[in-house]
Amino acid sequence: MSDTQIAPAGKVAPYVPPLRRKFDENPTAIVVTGALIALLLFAAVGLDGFWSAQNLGTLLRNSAFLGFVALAMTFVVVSGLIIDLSVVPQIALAAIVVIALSPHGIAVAAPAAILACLGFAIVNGIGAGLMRGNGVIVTLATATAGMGVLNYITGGAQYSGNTTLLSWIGNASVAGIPVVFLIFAVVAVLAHNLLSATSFGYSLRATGTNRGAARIAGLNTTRTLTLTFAVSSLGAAAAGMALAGYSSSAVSTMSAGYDFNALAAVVIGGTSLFGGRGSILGTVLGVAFVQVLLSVLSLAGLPFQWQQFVQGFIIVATLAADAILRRRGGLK
Amino acid sequence: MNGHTLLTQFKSWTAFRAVILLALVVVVLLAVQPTALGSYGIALSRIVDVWLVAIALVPVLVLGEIDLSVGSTMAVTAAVAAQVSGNLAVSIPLALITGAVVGLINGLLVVKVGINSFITTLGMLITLQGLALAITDGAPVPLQDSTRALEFSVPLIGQITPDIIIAVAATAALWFFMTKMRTGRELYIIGGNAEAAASGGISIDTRKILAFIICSCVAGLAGVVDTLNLVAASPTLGSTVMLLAIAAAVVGGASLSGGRASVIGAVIGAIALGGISIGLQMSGLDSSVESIAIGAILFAAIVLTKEGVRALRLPSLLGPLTGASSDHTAAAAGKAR
Amino acid sequence: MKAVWGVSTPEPRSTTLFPSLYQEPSVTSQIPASSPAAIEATGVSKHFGGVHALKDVSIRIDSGTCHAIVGANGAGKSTLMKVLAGLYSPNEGQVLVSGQPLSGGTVASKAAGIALVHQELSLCPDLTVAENICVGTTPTKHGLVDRKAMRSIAAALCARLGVNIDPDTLVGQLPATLQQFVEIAKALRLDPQILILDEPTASLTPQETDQLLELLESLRDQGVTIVYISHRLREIFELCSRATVLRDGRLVEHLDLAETTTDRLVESMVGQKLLDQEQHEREEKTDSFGEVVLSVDNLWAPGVFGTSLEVRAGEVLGLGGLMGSGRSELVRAILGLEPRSRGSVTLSYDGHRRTISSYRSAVRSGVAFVPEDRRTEGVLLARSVRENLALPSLTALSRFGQIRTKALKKMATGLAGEVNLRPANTSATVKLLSGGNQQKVAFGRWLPTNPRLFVLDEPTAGVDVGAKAEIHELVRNLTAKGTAVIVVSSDLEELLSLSDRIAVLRDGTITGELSAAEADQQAIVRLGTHHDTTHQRKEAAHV
Repeated sequence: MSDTQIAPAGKVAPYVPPLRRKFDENPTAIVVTGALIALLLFAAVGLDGFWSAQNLGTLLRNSAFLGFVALAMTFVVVSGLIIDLSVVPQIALAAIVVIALSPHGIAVAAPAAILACLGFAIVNGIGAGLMRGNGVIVTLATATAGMGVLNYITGGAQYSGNTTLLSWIGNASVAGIPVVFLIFAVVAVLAHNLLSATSFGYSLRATGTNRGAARIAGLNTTRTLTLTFAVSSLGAAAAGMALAGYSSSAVSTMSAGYDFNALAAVVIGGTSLFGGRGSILGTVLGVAFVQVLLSVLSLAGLPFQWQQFVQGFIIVATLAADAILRRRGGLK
Repeated sequence: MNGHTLLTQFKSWTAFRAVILLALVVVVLLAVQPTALGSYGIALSRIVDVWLVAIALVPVLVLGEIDLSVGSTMAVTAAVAAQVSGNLAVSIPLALITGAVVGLINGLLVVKVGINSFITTLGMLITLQGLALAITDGAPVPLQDSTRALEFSVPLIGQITPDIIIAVAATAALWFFMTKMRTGRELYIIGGNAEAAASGGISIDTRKILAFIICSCVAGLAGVVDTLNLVAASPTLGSTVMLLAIAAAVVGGASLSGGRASVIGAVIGAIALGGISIGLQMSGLDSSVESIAIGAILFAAIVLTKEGVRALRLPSLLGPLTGASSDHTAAAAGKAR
Repeated sequence: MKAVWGVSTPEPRSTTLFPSLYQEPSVTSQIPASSPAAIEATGVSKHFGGVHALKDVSIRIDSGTCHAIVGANGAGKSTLMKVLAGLYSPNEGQVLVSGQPLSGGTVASKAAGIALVHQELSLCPDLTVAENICVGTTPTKHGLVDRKAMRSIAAALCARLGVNIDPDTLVGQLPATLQQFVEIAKALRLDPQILILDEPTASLTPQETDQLLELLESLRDQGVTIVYISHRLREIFELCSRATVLRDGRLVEHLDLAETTTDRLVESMVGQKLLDQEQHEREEKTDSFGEVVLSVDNLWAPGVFGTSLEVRAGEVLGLGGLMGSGRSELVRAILGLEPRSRGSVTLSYDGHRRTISSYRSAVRSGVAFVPEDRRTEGVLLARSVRENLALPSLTALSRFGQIRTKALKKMATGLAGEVNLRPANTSATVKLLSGGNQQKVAFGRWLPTNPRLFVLDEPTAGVDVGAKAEIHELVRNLTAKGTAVIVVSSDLEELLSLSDRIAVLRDGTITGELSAAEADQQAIVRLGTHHDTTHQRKEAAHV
């Protein structure tokens, strides 16, 4: 049937100033930045101990641990897969492998940890990429089975050990900034490049916008999604190894909650769960916001138990606000 | 006639995959662990929560939606049941109402605000889990009226305990609703072909919200039952249950794209999966082996669709396992250009 | 003979010349002119956005008659039908049912006694026949669904239709033909006064079609008004007494079928273009085509029944045929987008022969595809022009995985210029562009890949006149470079002006091929509509 003509031929798209355009693309990120600044001000004025070197150090370190996973999760969200629930066993797996193999040196232990996590990526890629299964449920299945494998092999035991390099990475600080955080910053820059300036990034965004149309355009969407899972695995491996380096120990239950916390950071940072668009900067912002919020809340006396509720509530509120704003703006 | 043999009819029955699985499970258990079958009362009682949540998901799945927050809903209603009042006659109804309210919120977010149900219920899962943790202060809350609760574990007929009776009653009620009542059938129509439903004058929005309310309410019931069984409300209730329940419903014939789901199938699937779970436990195998098995089954249940199998390019081998009803789809005829 | 606009007074023809077409008017169809017509539309116009689907159409259908609506693709038949059924509200004009104005919405049209049999089936594949028939009208007993009543209703309706279908069968398991009958039964359930059918026999065999026509005749004799939309002229002449011809959204004329021939009807549908005018419009076609680029041999797929064809370098093969003929299915099967059960597709150039087994291998081997559904498959609406244009060339534009942004922007700007994109801003979101410009993006992005075979499915559907001409020019440029082109089009003028050769499809097979010299609009329509009694539709189950 007849197609609706949106703009008559010859009309130029109206000029939109860059800042306004950024807002239109990412309204929640602007709001979150404002809220973050407000939080920090509140902390500066009202909270003792927030600005202590120890608290800030912990804050930055935790931001890095979560950040590795959140950066990777950004790719998962942009691809249209919504979430990779299998990061939970992968983080623990990487930590356990790297510690268990630490006597052989980091040059053996680290690649082994990464390869172990990539095994997940392959299975996820087959289930959600090749066989078109639903990403959430496929990764739910691999997470469960994976956790089972992990528990079976380790029996829930705690592993101890470390390599000098890893221990240094996990614990040292340079000019007051934890080394992991510096690494995280570098990785964030690389992630931004990967998402916005590589052919993988273009394929990813196309696949997340409309997998069918991306396929027609000649893209190999199965490969794109499998690579996305690989990125997720790399992020999990990085987090796992960093955590292992920090505490010199690993146990299968150490990574609980990282999946949702990472998703929270991504969503709060403004990346749409519909896929197709995403911002690494937004995720970094989201991580910062989540960590600062939690730190402020716990210092202000909020019981630990309420933290997840607050996070969840903010996620849902963000989703709802995003959906409403987007509908008003006519974008989707 | 249309040339339908009994075999074809069986294969097209929505619950067919579940029955095959159950048969397999029973056979294996008979061979390896007959005691599990002997103490079926205890076995069933252990899986009552999965059973209830699996059937709870059916109305939502039939619409082509999903509710990932069912596990956390259980945890919240459990917490409400344990903490609100010492009097079970007050706190249990309140817990069920809480479930219904959660369902209403889910429904409104999906239907009115327009966020897709995967995303919405994922967010609610996080929020409700947090709420459960918060209310219970992170630790299991013992029931104040423990004597009443202990009565709950006393078998009434043979090995059948009250929780199994509740599950059977809920199943009967839901089955009745989905197969005999007009509103229930309308859910199938909406999921099968939303345009047909709209031109038939069915109000899609109200039906969807109703489905979410029913789902969360029955999930809430599962939380209450679990609390009574454990004589305490655990805040971590429900995380594995959701997984098993989705697996049970999908094995039982539910299609994530809507239009297909079976209450009976979900029950059979829950029993089959429970059988696997208990068989593994009783063999002295670690619970981790159970997780591996359940994860593998869920994976298989989800990827074995017509589309998925075609992508593997081995359709002849795996075709029958997809359980799809349509070989000649309406799409093939109607979309000719 | 002149084309007459508005109500026509056809020149009387001697009944002895065409005895088979003369219908004795039956007593029941002689309705006194003073009673209100069953359904009447006056001055109806309907547009979507800026595009007019119907312009000032008036039609009057008397009770108890069977009235056909005919026209080529895009003529507005479906839109008119939906307006008459109350599904669309006209922007101008009104619809009267038995003298009363019809308000919009399905409830109102049901109340007015109108039932619509859709072309696209609206059935739930996982529910039984009985349930599908009773959607929205489920019988209840004591508040519960009355299965027995549903079954007997369904059985009765199927018996009335002359088909034997077990009401408890799942609709998804029925072959397409039976599904069509279920769709019709569903409409009959409403006991309509006015029954509107849109291409009801698209998937029926000749015997089943006869069965259906008999039923419709008996309904008509019982006083039901039937509005019949089809391109199957044999059926129209058998069943209907009058026909309304639409072209390009406008009313051409109303015809009394008793006094019309098939040729006359076809002529009315396609319009009076002088043959030499058409010849004059087409460029001088060079006969020097290259070697065979695409070779399709005995292809079987859903909707495709043993098709073979060939396209040479520099040649444009047009695929014509009316709605439901399977043109899109054919090209998608050739490209590997639909599962193939039999047959081979080979691409040959520069001495290499490649079999196309999957869509990706096709694209890699130098095939380009502009699909029919632009908005959901042809472009990525939410992304920028630049990104869309870059997608097929990502590997070429990247070095060690990094996209060379400057090169990308340059290529995008270059392509935008080449296809004359207006406005030429490559960072604009494609969603904001007009249909024509969107189509240019869907087309232009393939140019850097230097395709050997270019497949276009309805390249100018929903595109304004200016962009249409530009796209045609782009296609001609392709052939000048030696690219083989396949164009699927429902626009007969377009098909004729672009193609060197036209293959006409009907029901999934090619009924004939016409060279540029011998092709004209009437020939195409004739090949696409006539029922050859020797032609039997082959079932896919044949495989």
